[in-house]
Amino acid sequence: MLSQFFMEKSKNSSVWIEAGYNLFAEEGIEGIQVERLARILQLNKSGFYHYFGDIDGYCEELIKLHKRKADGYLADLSTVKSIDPDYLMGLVRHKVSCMFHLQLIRSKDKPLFYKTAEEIDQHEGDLIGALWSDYLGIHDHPALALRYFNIVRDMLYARLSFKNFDYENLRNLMAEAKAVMQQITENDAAAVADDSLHPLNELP
Amino acid sequence: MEKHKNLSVWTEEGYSLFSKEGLDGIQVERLARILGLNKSGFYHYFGDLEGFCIELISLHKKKVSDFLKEVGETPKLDPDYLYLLIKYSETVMFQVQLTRSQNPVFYAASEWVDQKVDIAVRRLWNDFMEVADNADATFRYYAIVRDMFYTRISYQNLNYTFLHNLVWDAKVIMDEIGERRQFETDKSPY
Repeated sequence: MLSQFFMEKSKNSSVWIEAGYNLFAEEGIEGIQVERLARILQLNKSGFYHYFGDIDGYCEELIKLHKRKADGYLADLSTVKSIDPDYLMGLVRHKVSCMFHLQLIRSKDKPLFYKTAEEIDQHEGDLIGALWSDYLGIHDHPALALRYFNIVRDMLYARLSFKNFDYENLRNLMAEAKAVMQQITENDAAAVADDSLHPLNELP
Repeated sequence: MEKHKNLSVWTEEGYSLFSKEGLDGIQVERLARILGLNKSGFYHYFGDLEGFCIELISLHKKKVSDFLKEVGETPKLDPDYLYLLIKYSETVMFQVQLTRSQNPVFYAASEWVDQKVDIAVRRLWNDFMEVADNADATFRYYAIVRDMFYTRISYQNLNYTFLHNLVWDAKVIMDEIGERRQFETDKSPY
């Protein structure tokens, strides 16, 4: 009986958390209003205050849930064999968590939010570095490739929304990042080659 | 003129609020309370929130035009353009909020601004990256770095040190990747 009571209570608090997780993923912290959550769930507001105390307590639970979901995402990530299509398909599979993560990054006034995001990003980078350097063609230099990955990931965060979060769009954005890098560095190599010819041209 | 002055009092405050909080920060009662004015004035000038947002976008385009005039006189990306971004902090953050908006009218306005600013900044960026002015790929890189900027920037970190580190990291990464690829090309037996 007692275990059933505790299970019911956990179930009820998780109902609030799951609903808030999805709202936060779509709208950020502005989407998290107690009355609105209560209306969506058709539950009494008093339940919210009973389980979480206040919005800060609730946000801490949202972060705990995100960390658990991120663990699942990172476990998936450790099995991927390529950026395209494996990594990109993984992002699409974890779309809601990715959008939640994006909202965390945007929450610059809340250290708990953006520090959680930074930690997860760090783990992702550790897992993805070698694959990414292969994708770019910068072999055996994952640390350098990863620095570019951090820029490209931020570009994705700026461009992605629920509406356009699909494999095709992700693939196009990644391909552009790769093409830009390749073209710039080819231009640099050509410029170096041109420079190296000039001393020969000046011989009598 | 009185009417325009009163109208701009609403839009200037709304502009400031939007730059900090996006559309969620724009509530008629809240604006009226901050300004110490009657809500009826809001409805008289703008009709509704949608009408008000249209005026905010017009104001943003005007502020961006002022910004672009100064960009035209800016000698270098670092430090001059970076300090210009700081001078126009509120306009920059308004633009950031537009890019994050799900509202298609706001998003379209952000794209309009990006196109105008991109043209103006191209010269400065390519000069900073030390490439010829017509280097298309380098400018496509700017678009990627600009989007990174949109993700990372906030009122809290909109300062010279942050901006300086951001642009130099972007430049150095590309320089080092180029050196790496040149090294690998040189190793080739052909």
